[in-house]
Amino acid sequence: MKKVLLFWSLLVLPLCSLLAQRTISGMVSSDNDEVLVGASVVVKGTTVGTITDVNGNFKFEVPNEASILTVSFVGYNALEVAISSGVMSIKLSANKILDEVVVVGYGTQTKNEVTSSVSKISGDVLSKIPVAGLDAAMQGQAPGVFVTQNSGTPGGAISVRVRGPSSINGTNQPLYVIDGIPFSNGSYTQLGVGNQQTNALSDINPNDIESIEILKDAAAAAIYGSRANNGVVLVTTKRGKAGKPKIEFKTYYGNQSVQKKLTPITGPQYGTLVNEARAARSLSLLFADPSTLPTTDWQSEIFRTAPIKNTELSLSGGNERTTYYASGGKYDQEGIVLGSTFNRVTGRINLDNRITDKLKLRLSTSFSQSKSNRLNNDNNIYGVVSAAILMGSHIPVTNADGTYARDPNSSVENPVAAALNPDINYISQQILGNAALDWEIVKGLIFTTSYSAQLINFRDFRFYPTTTNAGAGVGGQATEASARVTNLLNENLLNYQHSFGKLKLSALAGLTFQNEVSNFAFFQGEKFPGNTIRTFDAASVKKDIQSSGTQWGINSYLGRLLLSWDNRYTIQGVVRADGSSRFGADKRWGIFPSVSGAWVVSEEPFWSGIKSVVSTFKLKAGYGIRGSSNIANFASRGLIAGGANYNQQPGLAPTQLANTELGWEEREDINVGVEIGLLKDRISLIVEPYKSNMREILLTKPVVFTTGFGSLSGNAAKMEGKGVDIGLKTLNFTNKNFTWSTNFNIATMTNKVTDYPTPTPFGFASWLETGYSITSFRGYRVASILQTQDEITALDTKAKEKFGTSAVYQTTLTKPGDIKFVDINNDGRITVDDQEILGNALPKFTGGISNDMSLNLDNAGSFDLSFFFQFVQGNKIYNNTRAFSEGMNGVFGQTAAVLNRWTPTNTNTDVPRAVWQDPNNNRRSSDRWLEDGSYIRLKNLTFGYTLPKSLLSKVKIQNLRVYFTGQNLWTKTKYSGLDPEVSTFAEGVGVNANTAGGTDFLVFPQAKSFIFGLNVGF
Amino acid sequence: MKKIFMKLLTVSALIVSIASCNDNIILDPISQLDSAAGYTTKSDIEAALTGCYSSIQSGNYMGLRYFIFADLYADNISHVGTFPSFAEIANKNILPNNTELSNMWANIYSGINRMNNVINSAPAIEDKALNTSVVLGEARGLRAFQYFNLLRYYGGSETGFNKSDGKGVPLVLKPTLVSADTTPLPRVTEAEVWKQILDDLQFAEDNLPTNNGGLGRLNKRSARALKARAYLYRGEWSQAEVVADSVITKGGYSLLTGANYANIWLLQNSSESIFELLFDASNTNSIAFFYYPTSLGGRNEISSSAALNTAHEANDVRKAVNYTASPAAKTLKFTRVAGTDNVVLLRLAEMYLIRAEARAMQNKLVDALADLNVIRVRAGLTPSAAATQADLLTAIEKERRIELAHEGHRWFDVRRYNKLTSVGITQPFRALWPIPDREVKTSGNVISQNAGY
Repeated sequence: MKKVLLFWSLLVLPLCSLLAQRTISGMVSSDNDEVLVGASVVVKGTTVGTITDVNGNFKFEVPNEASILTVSFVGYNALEVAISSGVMSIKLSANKILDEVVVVGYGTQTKNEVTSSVSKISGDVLSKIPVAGLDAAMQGQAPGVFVTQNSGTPGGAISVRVRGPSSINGTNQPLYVIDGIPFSNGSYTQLGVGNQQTNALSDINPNDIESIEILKDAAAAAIYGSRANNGVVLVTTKRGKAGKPKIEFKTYYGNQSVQKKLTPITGPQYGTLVNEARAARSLSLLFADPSTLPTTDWQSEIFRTAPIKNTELSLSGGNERTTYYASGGKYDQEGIVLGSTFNRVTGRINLDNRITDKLKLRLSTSFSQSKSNRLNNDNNIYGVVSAAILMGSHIPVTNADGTYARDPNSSVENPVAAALNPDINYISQQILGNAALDWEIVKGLIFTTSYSAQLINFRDFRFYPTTTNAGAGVGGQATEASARVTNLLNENLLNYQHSFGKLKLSALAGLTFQNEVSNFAFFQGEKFPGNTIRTFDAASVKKDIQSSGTQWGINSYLGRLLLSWDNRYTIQGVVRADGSSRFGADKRWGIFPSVSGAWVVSEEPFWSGIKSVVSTFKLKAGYGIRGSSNIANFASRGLIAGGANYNQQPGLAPTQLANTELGWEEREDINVGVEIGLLKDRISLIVEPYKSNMREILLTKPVVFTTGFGSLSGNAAKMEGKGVDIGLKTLNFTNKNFTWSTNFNIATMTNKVTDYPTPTPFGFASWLETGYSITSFRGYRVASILQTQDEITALDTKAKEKFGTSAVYQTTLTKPGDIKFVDINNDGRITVDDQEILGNALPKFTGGISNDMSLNLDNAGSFDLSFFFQFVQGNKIYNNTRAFSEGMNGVFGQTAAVLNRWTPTNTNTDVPRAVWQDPNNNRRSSDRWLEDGSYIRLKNLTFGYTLPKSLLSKVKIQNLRVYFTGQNLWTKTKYSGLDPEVSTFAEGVGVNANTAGGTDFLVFPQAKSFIFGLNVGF
Repeated sequence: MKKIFMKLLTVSALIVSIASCNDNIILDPISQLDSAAGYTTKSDIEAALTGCYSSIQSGNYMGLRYFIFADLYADNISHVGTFPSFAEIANKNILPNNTELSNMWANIYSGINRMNNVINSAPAIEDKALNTSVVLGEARGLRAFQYFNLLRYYGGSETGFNKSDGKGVPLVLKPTLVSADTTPLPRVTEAEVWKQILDDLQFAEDNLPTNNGGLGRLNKRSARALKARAYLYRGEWSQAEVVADSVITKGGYSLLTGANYANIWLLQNSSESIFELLFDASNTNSIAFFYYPTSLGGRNEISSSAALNTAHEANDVRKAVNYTASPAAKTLKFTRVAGTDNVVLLRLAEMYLIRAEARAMQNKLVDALADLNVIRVRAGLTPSAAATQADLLTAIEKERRIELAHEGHRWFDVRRYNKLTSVGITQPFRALWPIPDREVKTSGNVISQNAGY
């Protein structure tokens, strides 16, 4: 009612002024000296008044008899002040928010009301980490949220696991919801450059983020129904606050470099080794005199010190009716491997307008463009890091004539040529927009309708000039691909909140529609007139032209009912029904319910005696079922595809068998939790054990190839996961000048496949089998090095006794110096059955610990220091790089370990002999390549200095901070590869990303960086 | 209260108006057909038949691996590249989980399913413009080709083909249309597979026209040539002779001259070619890419073996084709790194060698020698004077190695002649490649593994 009055007062203001008799003036600000723009200043009991201007000032004429002013502003307690002469200074105190508000799906809840598992990360924490994407910035910040950078590829894919994996063939990435829009994440590149994929999430500027809430259990996430299995990451971007405009300028600049290099052998050592290997098979020697060979350190040739810089400008403010937040950012990163870059420009405008007291409009829009120069990578003879490891050190960078040198005996590209000659890049343009209208139908009942769009325009380009191996044979080759994604969403929600005495009721009902259409095009042309013109008009052979499209749609009904009594007992029920185009015709709709409750024991009267010590004691429990519809768009349909062409004739071929009962994957969760706060919550601890049963897991169930198909989609497998998430926050010390707080989190997790039809190999040594973790490794075990022919003959003799005269223990070409593998099944010879589970890529526990200190020296400014360690313990890495760089089987570059190889004179070693083509297959998947992947890393160290306000106010600057940040400065690990945080099967690469994690194969390592930054606020 | 009611009504009306879009969740694929309808028109069935050839072109099959492995697992090709799976084959130490094996197996059976689909659907299509018997002939002829190729690697006996203990492969003759059709079928005997191959080939020969749209499509003559090869493998010498003879004398093919020998591949579609898998710029293979050195845009995975080089006699025009000087140790049979080399699947020279061997086996030594010498003289060599059956057979074997190098015959000949040790294989069970481990496991051992693995 008051607002209506104010509204009227504005209209009648001109009239009133005619009757005015004296002028008063003043300024309205907040209790922490923020100027309040648009605050209402009215003579009490009248309509005479005004609103404050952009400087918070007001000035108007009042009747002589007026004595009291009513001053009000949204978010602040209204105040009555006596009119005084002169310039009045009025301070409003902010409305006390009793409880921290937590964003949950489709609404917010107070901390006491939260009955489920939700972790919150504030935007301040994210903006400290100098990385491209918000997903990378979440690393180590929340218990049970396990983030792995698959590689150091700038802008590359990052894997995020919320309470472990839930799927085998679908994605295990959480659902990202950005300002209410379920975000189509993933990789839209169509160019295979190795395993590293692109990441649509890196189009989002982390500096625009106010907070991230991660819904971890079904009780919290079931509101997202069939997309909630892997948790939900709710991203809330910054919005303006009414008040004087706030301008913030942030910039940083730094250098990145490689953390570690492998030690290659020299050219002469290489020549000797290869000759030795050839001689072992009585083959001609490749090098007449190895001692004359040159030595190239390929890693030094391709790793570089690379700059990273970021600049942001944001503007926010508004008045009582309209608030805004606008920002622009530019992020430029060069990769530490020659030739790789990532650049991004972003813009955001968030606008809130109170149209009337009952109607509110909220707009959120962002637009971005990311560009990246990519490199071939991973399992790829044209890969840059790959070639730098696999190319022998005996080859010089360039020949005498200046052309890049190549090893005539090897298929590996010259690493420097691989980095510089091909032109591989992408541009990703993305618009994310949402317009929502809130209508308060009656008090407490709000209807919200919103329309959102995510538009992605992704363009790949690649040119292989004739100077590359890939382009040499075809006269240069250009490839261009585009993806256009239109993801549209309409949501309609009814929200009701009412308190009946001590009983608070909050109810939500909703109806949403989402649809996504993607269109792809792909062109390839060859034979160019030289390497200058790279567009298709110049290609004389139009080799490949394709376009394709796909789509999906989902309709949902959702509801939530929350009852809370006296801030002590809360019970919540959630349900969502999803109908998806992806599900089979016989299984169109899935229903996902959850129920949970909380008891804030410390609010009970009987607790009052110990409340001064144990300030918070809360118990909660939840149960629910959530789902995943992350299956291919038409996976339930039987398909016949075109493109099976021959001799310029169109061909058709069946590509997929139908399964009309194909449905969602299901995850049943039990979560319990205890939250304890000590000493007025200076110490707060949260412990949440959970257990998940995953069932109906989507399988491409293998069928015998004789059917003409490899697999049949179905919901068959089962898996279980459990763990404990623990978070501990302590305010270790605080006084006027110094505060020190610690934030520690740790999570355990285990995963077991409990039903999987046929044991299946993945990746290089990964294996999926009932009874073991989804990321298990399987292979042979090394017994010893065979020292004498007698030893081999004895083994072979036994094998012959059992299996006939042609049998041998290992192979017919096994010789002294080869590895003897363990006869696991004890049958007297080595066969495929002599393999067993060797270990698991899933850590036993993961976590992070950050310490933040600030020292306030008043007029001398303040210092802040924070250091953040992230750790992973108990996982194994399959180092397939070593299977090549220590394989001694051919022409690949080798590392120093091979210098200790077995020879008749060096027999006390675990490195086998060098032998051309490795006939004993010493390099086979075995525990020889399996290493402990545990590490602890100083992920971030930041030291900052904020200049004193007294100094800055003279130059009209609100605040100014300079800082130094170091990223990945120190790592402790036993892992011998370049980086223990590694996965050659990056997110987006398919099923191997789920089942063959923890595999290292020629991966672009992460950088360590030194960064200087400046933040200025006006 | 009435006002509130009206407001709620407005909201409900709004929601109902947008809620009625069930078509948002019942969508059709954009870039594929739903298979429920199957092949129902003439153009469907023609495209499905084209799809059969497309599967044969795969790099896992006749687009590369099938035939180069037959030389790599013997003594004509050496492995110089990076693939461990190739190394296993070159080392003659194949493990049942070698991916090359399962890829090839899967590809051949995928093709068989395409052919079975055509065979199943064609008779029901009522379109007078469609010559159903030609379609069936072509599909069945190709199916015979597939099963024949399966037997060569995965079937037979340790001592060769068409022996009493010969192992076959699963004989799938019906298309896989629904999930219920995915029950694994066990392996049948080699003899049962042969029976089907010969039935299908006979049907193809009876129903296909002499020319069926160029060298790239199976026709009456190429079906016959394939049959001659089948009789050769079966050791049915008189039929082999008769059928090969019919191709040679009535096929209308002619050998290129020695001077033009390389043009069989360099110019392609030669008068000597009987059945050729066609590639073009928009439909390429990786064959030359796998041979050629990196400097010429290849990946240098395989080379001609030194042993093949030395197996040539002096002045043999084929030496320059089989073992090139520049680039070193490659072949002129595959030279287009851009991937447009055709693959010659059957050619007249093979027919002469089949007839020579069939005649020699029947002790028609003079005629056999004449056939052999047609090939030798064309290659610029002096005519052979082999006088005994044994000498003649040795000469034919040698001639086949040289004449058909890089064309996917060598290993199968080694099997036929039961001379495993000549290519360094001391374990007789390795005559049969292992059935892919995945297939054995997925079928729950319904598809049994070959002995020894």
